[in-house]
Amino acid sequence: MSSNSTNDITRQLQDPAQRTAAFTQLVEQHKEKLYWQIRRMVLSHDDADDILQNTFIKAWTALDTFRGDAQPSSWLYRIAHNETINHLEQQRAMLSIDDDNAQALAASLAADPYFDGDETELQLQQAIATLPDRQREVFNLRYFGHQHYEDISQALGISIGALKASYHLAVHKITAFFNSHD
Amino acid sequence: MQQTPNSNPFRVPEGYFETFTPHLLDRMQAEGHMQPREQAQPRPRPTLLRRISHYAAAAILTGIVATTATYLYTNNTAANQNTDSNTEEYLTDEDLNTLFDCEMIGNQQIAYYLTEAY
Repeated sequence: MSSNSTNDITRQLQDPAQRTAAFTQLVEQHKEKLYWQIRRMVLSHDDADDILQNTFIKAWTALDTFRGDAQPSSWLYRIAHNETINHLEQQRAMLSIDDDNAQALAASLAADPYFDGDETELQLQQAIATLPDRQREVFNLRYFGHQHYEDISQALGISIGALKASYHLAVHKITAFFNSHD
Repeated sequence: MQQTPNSNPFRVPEGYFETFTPHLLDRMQAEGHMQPREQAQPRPRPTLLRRISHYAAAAILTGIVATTATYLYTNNTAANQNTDSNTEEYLTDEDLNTLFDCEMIGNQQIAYYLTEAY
């Protein structure tokens, strides 16, 4: 989005007369991309839907704090990221999940009606589930989301160097997982 | 990693994205985060009276009061019985009622203009 577009949407979001229409446009523009970023982290459609809705509700209530310093997409992603991490932490606390059980969640994808992957794709999801949350997020954004490091850096507030290191470590772990499960 | 798929094996329910935004907005209204969309529009003013500014309406009202007072004052003498019947040409009673109903002029403002005029 160009800087002019960012300035326009920011101005409209700050104007009470235009806020609802501008917010609706924001939802339409970003809902799918945000959904898939959330979904790849939580795996379940229902959970992803809940988090996506909560993300936009949080964004609406925090509109007064959005000054256009960042792209709307980065600002929204930061909210979605926090909601997703909170969800995963609450899930672990509620179900007493450890890393081994996180992989069990990925294995349950085989029975998920909204998962169409083959054996390799299922194994890949199990491998990804072994990664720490933040590293999994970086991997998903880069590998599946094809996002540039600069955009990920702005969204997560992590340096590009740290992101590259995290991504390559993730690739190494996933490769090792596949090799150990051949 | 070159042999692992980066296609998307996840699906969504049919029509999910198409209905997401209206469902979200409905939820936000139901939970009080957002005003109902049908009430989000400001109450429209009558088209004719949109052209009358706040101060123009006050000035007109002042003129009516002054004219009426003059009329009532001069109406007591037989020689001046032909002064004006122009009051109704400025604003009708219906127009005045509409001004009050639309809160374009409040009682306090009327009192201000009346006292300032005299």
